Parts: sequence; C-alpha cells; structure tokens
Amino acid sequence: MNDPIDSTASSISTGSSTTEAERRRSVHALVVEDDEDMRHLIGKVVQMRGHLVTGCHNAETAWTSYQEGSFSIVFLDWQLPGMDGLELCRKIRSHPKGERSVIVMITARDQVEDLQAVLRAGANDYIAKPVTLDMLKVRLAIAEQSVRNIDRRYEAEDALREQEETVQNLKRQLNEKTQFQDLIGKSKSMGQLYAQIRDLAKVDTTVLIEGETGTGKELVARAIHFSSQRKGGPFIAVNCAGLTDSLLGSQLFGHKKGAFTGAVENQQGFFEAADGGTVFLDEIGDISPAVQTSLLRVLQEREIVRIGESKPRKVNVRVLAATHHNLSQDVVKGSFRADLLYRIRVARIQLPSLCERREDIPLLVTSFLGQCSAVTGKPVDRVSREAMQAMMSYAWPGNVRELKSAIESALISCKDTMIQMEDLPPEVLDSTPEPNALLTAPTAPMDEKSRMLAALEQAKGNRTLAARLLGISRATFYRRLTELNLTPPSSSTPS
Amino acid sequence: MNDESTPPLMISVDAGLRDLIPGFLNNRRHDIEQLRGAMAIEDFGTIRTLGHRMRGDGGGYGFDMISEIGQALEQAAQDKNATEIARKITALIDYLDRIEVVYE
Repeated sequence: MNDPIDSTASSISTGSSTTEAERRRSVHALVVEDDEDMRHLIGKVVQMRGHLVTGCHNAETAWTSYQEGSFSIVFLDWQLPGMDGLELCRKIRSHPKGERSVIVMITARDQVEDLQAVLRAGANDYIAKPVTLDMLKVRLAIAEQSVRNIDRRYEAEDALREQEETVQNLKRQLNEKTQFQDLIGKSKSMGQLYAQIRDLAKVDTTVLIEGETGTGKELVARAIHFSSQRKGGPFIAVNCAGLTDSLLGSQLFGHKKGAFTGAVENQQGFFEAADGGTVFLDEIGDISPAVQTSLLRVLQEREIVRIGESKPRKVNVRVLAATHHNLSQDVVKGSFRADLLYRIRVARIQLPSLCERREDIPLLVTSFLGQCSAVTGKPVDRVSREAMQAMMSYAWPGNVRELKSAIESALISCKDTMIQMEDLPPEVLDSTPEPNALLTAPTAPMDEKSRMLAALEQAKGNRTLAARLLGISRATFYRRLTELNLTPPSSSTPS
Repeated sequence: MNDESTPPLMISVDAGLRDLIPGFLNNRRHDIEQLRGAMAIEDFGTIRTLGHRMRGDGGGYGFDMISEIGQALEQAAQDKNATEIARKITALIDYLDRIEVVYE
C-alpha cells in the first residue's frame, strides 16, 4: 500500500477551505517514530489539521531532514534505533532553528523521572503510550498554540528590530540634516549649502567657493569631492597664497629635470598626481598671471605642460577653487583674467559667515567641545548660559575657525567640566552687545545707505564694528558699500 | 473468515483514518505470522516487542482489543508463558476475522 507520509511534502487534509488549508500549510511537522503504524497515525492526525508532514523512522534521518527543512512541530519517539529521541531533542534545541520548533516527546512511560528527563532535553510536551486518537488531537492542538505563540513572539521581535532600524535611520537622517561630511550646521543657509553640495557632487563642473576666511571653504571642497563619483580618486588641496609664482607653477604642473635651479629630477605636478580625482585651489585670487594662463589651459584643454617641457599631457581632474576676494573686482582691476574667472565660476557656492548663521553656534560649540575633549582628555562637556550668550553675540570675524580656536583655548583654561565666561578669549568677552543706537534712537525711518553711513560714523570708521552694529557680516557690509557706491566718512563726506 | 454463528464485531473508526486502516490490519496479520514463528523457537523477546507495539498502537486506531491483546502478550512473554501466548494469538486471529469497520 502507499505510504501516506514519509515524504518531504504530503497531500493536505480533506474538508478544509482552500484559504484555511493554505494558512495551516505554513506548519510543517516532523514525525520521528520507528513504529510504522504509530508514525502513520501521528502523520495522519497532523495532515487532518491541514499541515505538511515529514516522517522518519530513525533519528539520523530525522536530523538530516531537520537541518535541511523548517519544522514548526516535531513528534519524537524516545525509543529509537541508534541515536535515541532525547539526544535528537538536545541536538534540535542546540540548532539555530531549534528555538522555533515545538517538540512533543512520545514516551513509553510517564514516571516522574522520565518526564524530568524529557523536559531537561528541551521538549515542550510529551505523550505517554498507549496513545489514543483524541489524545493525539489534543496534544497537536496544544502544539499549534505554542507555534502561534512563538510566531507572535518572533513577529514582535522583528517589529521591534524594524522600529529600532527606523529610529537609527531617522537619527542618521537627522544627523545628515545637522551635519554633512565634516560641515556642521542645521540653519536654513547650511541646509541650502548641503543641497548645493549634493547637486554639485553629481556633476563634474568647476566650482568657485566664495566666503570669508574661516568659513570652511576647504571642507566644502572635500564634501563635494567625497560625495562625487571621483571620491575614489585623490583630493589634493593647494594654498595658492602661500607659494611663490615659480614654486606654485612647478607644484601644479610639474617640471623637467634641469628646467630651473633646484630641478634635480623630473617631477610630476599636482594635476597629474590628482588624475581621476580633484584639485582644490585655495586663494585662487592670489595666483600670478602666468599661472592663471597655465590654469586656463588645464580647464579648457584638459592638459598640462610641465615646466621645461613642451609636450602636453592629458589630465582627468576636476578643479574646485576658493577665494575670499571679490574676483569680479580683480578682473576690473586687471589682476585676474576674465576668461579664467568664467571658467572657474561655472558653478558658485557662497558660504555664509558665522554671523549669518548664529543659530548654528551652539551646535558647533558642542561639536568642537567633543572633539577637543577627546583629544585633550579633559572631560569638559558643558557651557554655561552666560558663556554661550557671549559666544552668540560675538562677531566672529574669523568665523568657524576662530570659534574652534576659542573653544580650544577655553578648554585649556577651564577648571571643571563646564566652560565659564572667564574661560573665553578676551576678544569674545570684550564684545558685550552694545545698545544699537540706530535701533533705539527715535529717528525718522532711514534708508539703507543712511544707516550704513550712520553706523560708520558711530564706529569711527571701523568697518568691522560698523557691520556689527548693523548686525551683518563684514563681507556683506563691504559688498553693500561697493554696491551702494559709498565711501567711508573718514575719506570723504557722505554722498 | 467469519463463522455464520459468530456475529461480526462492529468497530467505529474516525473517517479520517480510512486510508490507514487496511494497512494497519494487514500489519496485524503479519504480526500473527511473526508471533507464531517466534513461539516456535521460544523467542520471547520478539513476542514481547510485538506485544508492546500492539499495545501502543491499537487504541490510537480505534481497536482497543488489539491494545489489550498486545499488553497480555507483552506480559506473557515476560513470564515466558507459552500457553498464554498461544491463547492470545488465537484471540487476535479471531478478533481480526470478526471485525467490521464503520467509519464515522
């Protein structure tokens, strides 16, 4: 006769709806019993409930099946040829999947010591022989409930894990909103900056990064490079202001041995060394006309010529440039090539001064405090309210770089775990907010030009102080002076 | 084969076991052959094992008498009581000849 089970996939019950049967089909039972009639009986009872059944006549075969399959319920006879049921039970429990299986041991006796042995081996339940059909049905129902409980527990754990991952993702996204690469800030202007960086990272155009000193121009250049497809390539930063004309040319384009005194061997320049990556030219407004010409060739022809050579060499480099100059004015003055300006200014980024994003100061302070504490080992992690207020009102002409330096200095002075007012550098302490005469004095409404002149007069020609009085950055103040065609009161009468 | 004077014994069995019953009863007839063979050589161990198995399986299929006979065989084998064993084998044969299964 056909063996109704003893296969890895068996036919399913009679009398159940397709939906009900499909739902129950998710339970797969393993029946391990060397007595063929008992094995078939248990298998049939399981099948009548709409479950899948696999039957094995010894523990060795069952163990192989268990490892290869996925069994919610295991009916396991204690007395088996070879490995016995208790040993198989222990093996199942030690398997990674073992936690999710409900094991019902079939015993010949129901003495207390036997039941204790069954429980110690890890079984969930037992049936003592001789079994009846009703007893099998009840035990199976109990096992099904245990399976549901286990499934619910795992579902809850999975849901919890998913929620934890969501929280981590949200934290990561929040982090990205407050930080991008090494740039820190959650103000609107910084959010716009991050969006600009992401956009510029997707293309390969030359970018001119403008901003006051200490605003993070190199950090922005790095952020663009390491967000772009060139991130696997080199990133080489060059401070053009710090080098002589000849040295800069040699470093950027390389030289041939003997091309000049000191050129003792052939030398590759930064453009060749950065092949496939990015060259960042800081203070590009300071380069000489000769270097400007060579740089224009790099941008137009994508090739360089080493000093002393005539043979051009192709380079695959993205150029990012930065300046605190007003290059348009330099073009007017004749100190900067207009065609080079157009080439490097295909895209522009204007970095906000720290005054223009004061709301980021607490975030920056926290970040720098953490960095400095980690380096120095001093456990300083808080700032007093008064100290924070002083930092919020200071003009920070040196921008973020000056702020970081102030925190480093304060950390050294700090006597405990909190930075106090007296720990701050003197220039920060001296910048107590002055009553803004322009705001408090009962005057007739002024236009911008008049306000700027009044501020300069009040500041006795000091443009930095005048800018502070107006609550704007020095760069903005300078720009508006030019745009409004104003001259300071020290040089002439107001126009 | 039933004697006409001996009424059939109606046994109610769960309809879900319908396809298992022929195999189960066939195995019991096979057990009878094994029991006779074991008796002939006084293999009480085999008789005890067969009795133990019948005791465990009979009730589950709905044949309580098979469980009773099995238990008796197991005990008789343990006692090495050949007379009792022979009687139980006869009882088993008679039982299997008389039963008529009704599926519910």
